Amino acid sequence: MSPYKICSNCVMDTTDSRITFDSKGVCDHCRTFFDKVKPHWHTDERGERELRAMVQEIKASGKGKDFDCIIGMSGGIDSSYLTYIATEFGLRPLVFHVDAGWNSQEAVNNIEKLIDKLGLDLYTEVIDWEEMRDLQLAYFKSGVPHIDSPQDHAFFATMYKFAEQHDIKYILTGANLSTECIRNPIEWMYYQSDAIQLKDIHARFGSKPLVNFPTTSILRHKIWLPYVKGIRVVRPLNLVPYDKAAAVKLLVDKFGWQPYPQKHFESRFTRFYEGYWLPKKFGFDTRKVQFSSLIVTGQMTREEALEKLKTPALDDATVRQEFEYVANKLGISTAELQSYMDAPNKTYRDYKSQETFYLLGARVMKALGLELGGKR
Amino acid sequence: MITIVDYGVGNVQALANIYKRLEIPCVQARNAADLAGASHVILPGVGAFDWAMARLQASGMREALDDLVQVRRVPALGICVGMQMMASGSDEGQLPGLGWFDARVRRFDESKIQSRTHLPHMGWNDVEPVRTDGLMQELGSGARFYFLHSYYFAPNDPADVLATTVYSERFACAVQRGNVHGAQFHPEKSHGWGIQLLKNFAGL
Repeated sequence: MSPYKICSNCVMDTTDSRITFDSKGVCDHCRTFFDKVKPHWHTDERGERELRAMVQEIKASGKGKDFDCIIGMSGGIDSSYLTYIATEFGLRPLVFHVDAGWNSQEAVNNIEKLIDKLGLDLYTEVIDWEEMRDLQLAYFKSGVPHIDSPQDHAFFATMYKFAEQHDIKYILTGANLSTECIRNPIEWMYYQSDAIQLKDIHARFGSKPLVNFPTTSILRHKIWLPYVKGIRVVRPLNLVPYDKAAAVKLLVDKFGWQPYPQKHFESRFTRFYEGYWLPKKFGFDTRKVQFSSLIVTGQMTREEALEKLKTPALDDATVRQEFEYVANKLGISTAELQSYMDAPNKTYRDYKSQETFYLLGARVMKALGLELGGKR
Repeated sequence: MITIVDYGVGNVQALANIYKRLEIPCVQARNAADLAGASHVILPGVGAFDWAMARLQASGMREALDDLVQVRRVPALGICVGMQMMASGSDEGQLPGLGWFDARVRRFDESKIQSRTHLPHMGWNDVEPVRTDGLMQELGSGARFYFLHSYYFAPNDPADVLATTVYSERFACAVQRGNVHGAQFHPEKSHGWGIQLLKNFAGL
């Protein structure tokens, strides 16, 4: 193993095994951002012009319909701010929430407050909990790092299905460069949309068939939906200035929105997973990715990030409490959950996957300029 | 024929989809004439109490519904706000309810709720049956249903309670008085258990 090294510009380090550094000690994540992403990322008048043009198209596509677009709402900062921006620009979104059973109270509060004060319609799709639990347990048993895939997969699959069924042509997502320009390495968090992997892991470790659980596939959402059905996924937050702290303040003041301590902690499962399971079992701390995104976009200093990384995301008391909560909710003993923590670590390569497909797709997207940074 | 009242409030399509899967015929009623052939009536509902009441009033179906449920006594099922509308009134609004139950809809006492933020009550919760026949048959003791609400139905006659749930306090999550039934949870979002309950309703 190579000796420990940390980027001189951000806080990514050799816990990402494929990281490379240039002669000044700057990592490839930073290089990709400064060379490939930043020059093409415009949140000034140019971005606003593009957004206005996009809004016109969205409005035109929704003429005579109840809604002109769908927003997937988790109750987190990105989707909440996106909902606010969309209504500011006069869009008529149907706010879509997928409840996979792990909503935090903050998430529930935030969804309710925004919907209520903006006078929007909320559509809640509920994932079959018995199947969800079986699938999540299968992921724990598989030993892979990306055990949050069932939630993420269900969110997107459900939203695509809904858009298709109701003939809504635009899906607005809160995905953005401002807080996510540096992405979790594939090794840490493999593509959650890979249905082949999901089904293989479930076939090996699940105990009941997946009947209601919604699935998608790369062919379906990268080719069929956009090019055949004309359903487009757009990222408006990349066209406006999006400063995370300022956005939080605006939502708190305007809507009584409740901040939560860390990105993705609107789901109680993800909080446990990113705050404890992933760093403890694999040494992957997703805060490094999140803070690095904020560092290169000028929203956090490297010193501040290093200081925060000195203490774990969740304190011992919270971990004990959440460990018990998660085990209990999954219907297993804490000893059984601990046995999955202690079992040998596996990777996505230990199971069937469509990795080559994804890598090919990513290369094509980059070549066409449709994806600026992306995962690696 | 099972008839779902479509007054622009609530998820009519999700209910219709479930009956389609069960191969039980059902129709949607958008005006009084559509209600004529109803053997069972479902009143869905989401959103604020007054808004839902006003929409029902504006739909022109109110009188025909009263006749179906109060005079002809066909089995009726109110869901979520649809259940709440069957009470005499709600803390949430000023308009009177349908008055099919001697009950009032109350807001949860937030000071009794343990978690940091309180309402709405959103997510899966245990449903403990008081009765195990009729609407509640074959659900078993471990039934869980999906909830999304901030107000709860408080019947004055304890004999109306079909099942209870605890959220800060124990409340009536399903009720019945004669032919009239109400469910605070959403059977159309509750997968297996919800489907069973809707099947039970169709068999009444």
